[in-house]
Amino acid sequence: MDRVEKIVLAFAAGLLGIFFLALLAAARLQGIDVPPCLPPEVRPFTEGRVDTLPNGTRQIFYVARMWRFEPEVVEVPAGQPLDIFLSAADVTHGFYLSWSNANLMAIPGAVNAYRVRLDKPGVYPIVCHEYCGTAHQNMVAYLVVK
Amino acid sequence: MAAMEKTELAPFRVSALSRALMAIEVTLPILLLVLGIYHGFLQTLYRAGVIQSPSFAGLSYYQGLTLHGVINAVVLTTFFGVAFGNALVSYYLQRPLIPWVHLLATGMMVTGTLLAAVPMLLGWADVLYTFYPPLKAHPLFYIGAALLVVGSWVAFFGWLPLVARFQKENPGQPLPLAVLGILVTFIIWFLCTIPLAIEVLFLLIPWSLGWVDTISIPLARTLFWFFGHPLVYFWLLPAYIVYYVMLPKLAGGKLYSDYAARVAFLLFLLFSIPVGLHHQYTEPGFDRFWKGVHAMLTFMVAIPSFMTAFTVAASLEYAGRERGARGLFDWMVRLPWFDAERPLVAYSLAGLLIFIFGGITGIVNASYNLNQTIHNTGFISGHFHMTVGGPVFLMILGMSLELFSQLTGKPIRLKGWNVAVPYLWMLGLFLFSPAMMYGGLLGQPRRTNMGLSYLDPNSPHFRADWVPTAYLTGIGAAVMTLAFVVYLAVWVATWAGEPAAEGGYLYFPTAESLHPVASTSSVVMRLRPWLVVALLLIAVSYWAPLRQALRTPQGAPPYAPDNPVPLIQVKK
Repeated sequence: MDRVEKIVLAFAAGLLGIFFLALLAAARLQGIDVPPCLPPEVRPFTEGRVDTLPNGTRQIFYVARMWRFEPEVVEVPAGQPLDIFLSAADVTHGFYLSWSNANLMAIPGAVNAYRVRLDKPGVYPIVCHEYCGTAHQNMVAYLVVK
Repeated sequence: MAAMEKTELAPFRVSALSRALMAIEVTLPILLLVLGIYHGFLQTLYRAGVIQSPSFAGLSYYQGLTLHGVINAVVLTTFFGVAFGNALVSYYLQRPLIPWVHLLATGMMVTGTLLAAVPMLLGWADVLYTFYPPLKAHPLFYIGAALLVVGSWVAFFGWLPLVARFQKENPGQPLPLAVLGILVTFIIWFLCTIPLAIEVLFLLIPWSLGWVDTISIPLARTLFWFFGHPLVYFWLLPAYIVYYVMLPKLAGGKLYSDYAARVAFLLFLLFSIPVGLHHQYTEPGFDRFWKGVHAMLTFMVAIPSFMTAFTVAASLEYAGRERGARGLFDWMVRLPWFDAERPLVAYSLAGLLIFIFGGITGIVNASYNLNQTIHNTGFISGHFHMTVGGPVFLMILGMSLELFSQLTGKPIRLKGWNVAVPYLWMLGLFLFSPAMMYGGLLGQPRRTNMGLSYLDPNSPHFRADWVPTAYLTGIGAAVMTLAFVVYLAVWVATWAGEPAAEGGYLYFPTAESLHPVASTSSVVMRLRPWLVVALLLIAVSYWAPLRQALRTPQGAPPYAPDNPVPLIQVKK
């Protein structure tokens, strides 16, 4: 390899290294991460519900099924931590809470989870973004932040 | 003194049987593409709300989406990989293919394609090319897909004795670069289709036939993506072979470095496969650590692409200077962008320009937590139309026509139109992909008939902010479709023309290396050590994720795409 090739190779590797460190920094320092791996004892659930923990954290248990989310409309206060749990009752579904990082797959047999905090009041659509059958495009829920 | 590689070889005459089979291998997928491209365009109309219906002209949205994916991304690419490999191996080794192997391989692939086409066209397999269990398709769909894949294995196995004989008869002579490239392509393909075969043969087919009630979805998905990402390198590497081996010569220059080209191919062998978890970042059940490992390995596989960008650009710069260029950028202007006698240059250059953006957006997708903002949105579709729908697709079009012309002895007609095709396609794509990606950043889901809800002003789910990008994708897709129509016209005119020479002679322009070729004792001249490391990397990166996928005890019964009640009632 000649000198130019070595420089280019080092530049490419260095650039990717910097990108990777930036991703790790975002995960570690800012808490922006991919969904965690829950212990296998956490079993899938078949009914949607909302719990409020003593410290004010809301826990929403979403069930994705052909072709709706349960619960369909939930109101939460702005600026509070929100724990989302997601279970698929039939086939594989997607879950994308608009304008947030809560972008999840609902997989039959497993429970997905993500924590968000929504500071801005408004109506946040939750869109199913994984093909789940003929009425996939109608599968929407709403999170109302007040 | 480094070993000399013989670059220019005489045209090689293939047997009448191979000639007929190869003509089928390049023609059948182009015919099927008519359907695949038609429905690609239609999808953008559904998504923009121009068509507000579950189906149009007898084809439903999701049925068409299945056809679009299966034909364009699987049938076309697999047939082309095999046809191009058959041609490269015959020409560069100057040896005829083994007749019965060639017949068996092509026979299996054609049979598989036709078998899978039946349920798809009847609407019995609306499960998209990624299968998506527990949605269930007709067993013929899976059986046809398996036959297509195994047929391509047979073709690959048929090359190996020819390669072995070449090496035995030419000690001290390196394997021709094109042959190394196609071998790496098909080793990757063979390794990654093993998990796919396991998924199809042991999970999907018994389950779709009703022999077992349930299958594990995390396991099926992990096996699928074990295959699903290396698949994209199977698509891409044939185009790289042209960029390295033929493009420098066609552009009037030399390959900057044969050594770097070999290193790039071998790095793809190492890093193409242990990366599949980056399609599963947003799924439950896998440790973050292993998702991170796959993210890092995905970054590693970007390195041979960076190297390729450099080597190909350096080769083109050399060609430009040979053509009289001065200064920093003049070489770009001097390249034969629109030379109607060398259409592969146009198909290559347009593909390379597109791939700059395809590669960069791919790094975005690979970026672990950054993927949270774009997973399963239109951003992904926008990205891969600049990879598989960019350099890969254009190379398949350009090279298929070239092969068709050589096999039939008919010169390409409408030559001026032919070199316009890649640039017209690029123009359409540069509208389509950014619009699709911007829409994705606004939250538009991929693979969704949006005209029935989000893009319908009368729906409670209407999203006014999604309208402009959805329309723009439609305009881009219309231009892309027009490019394909022009291409078809070129193909038909060529086919209808008179042969100018006897058909069946294969010839590929082959560039010399500017820098010396490595010695035959160099590690880049050997495949086995790289293969061992590749297998080790696969074992290390997939051991834990596969165990984690197996941890989910509960299986899923099959579902029809139009019914929330499972096809089999399973007792809890």
